[in-house]
Amino acid sequence: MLTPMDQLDPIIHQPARLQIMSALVQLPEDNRVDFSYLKDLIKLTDGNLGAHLSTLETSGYIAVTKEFVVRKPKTFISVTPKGRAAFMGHVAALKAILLPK
Amino acid sequence: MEITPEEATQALQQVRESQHAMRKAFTSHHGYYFLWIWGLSWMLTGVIRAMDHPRFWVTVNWLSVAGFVVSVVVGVSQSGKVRGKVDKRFLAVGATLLAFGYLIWPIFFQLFRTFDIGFAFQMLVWMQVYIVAGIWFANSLLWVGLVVTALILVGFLCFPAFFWVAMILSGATMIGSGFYIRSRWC
Repeated sequence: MLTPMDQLDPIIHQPARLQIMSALVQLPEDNRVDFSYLKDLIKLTDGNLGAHLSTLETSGYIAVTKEFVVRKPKTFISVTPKGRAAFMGHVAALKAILLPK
Repeated sequence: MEITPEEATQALQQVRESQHAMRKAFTSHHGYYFLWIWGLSWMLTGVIRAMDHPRFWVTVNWLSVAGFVVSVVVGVSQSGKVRGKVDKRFLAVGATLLAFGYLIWPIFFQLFRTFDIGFAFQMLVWMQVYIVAGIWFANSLLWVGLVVTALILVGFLCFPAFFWVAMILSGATMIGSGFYIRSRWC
């Protein structure tokens, strides 16, 4: 039987990635957020945020798309259904750890 | 992986803080600005109408142009931060309602023969779009549409000499609804 510790997701648990995922799951489904906007919200540098987003994208937890807004290229990030489910599982595991045994 | 209960508490706190920050940021992309812009525009229109200057409609037209420009600026600035999936079917429905509302019914029924008839009709066209949007997306625009529609109908049919009061109340309802929608997300 899996314990709550086994259900923790090491990719999401890293503090910066936990912040990113927490913020992204708050958006309604099919909504995506601009890279710079997320950077200001999470208070990370371009390079740092880019590296964490790359890890999350490789895991299939987020999707990164490039779009033009008023003729300027912009990077948008959204959480995938797999990422949403993984985040929910991780938070449930964190809560389970705090439950009295 | 192994973590202590203190680390779990800290992580959950971090989750709550990030979610709150995003929710707060997302409020500015939730359309309530448009309720404020047009609520204010309608309230001012009511006030200008009450003054009854012979050329009041010129000021009212400029007010509508200003509302339109501010709406476009807000819309463009918002679209660069958070983007949602465009519901093309709803856009088509909304465009159809507005096309009939602005092009077909007014010409067919001569609905702009007086300012009050034209303005009441125009407000009702938009409230029709709000009601459809509220039903379509299951959100509070349905109630905004119903309340403002009721105010306009009562004002126009029961108190035509004081229709400007209905304009002001409708605008105030829009602004109040904007605050309500904002508070639900913060």
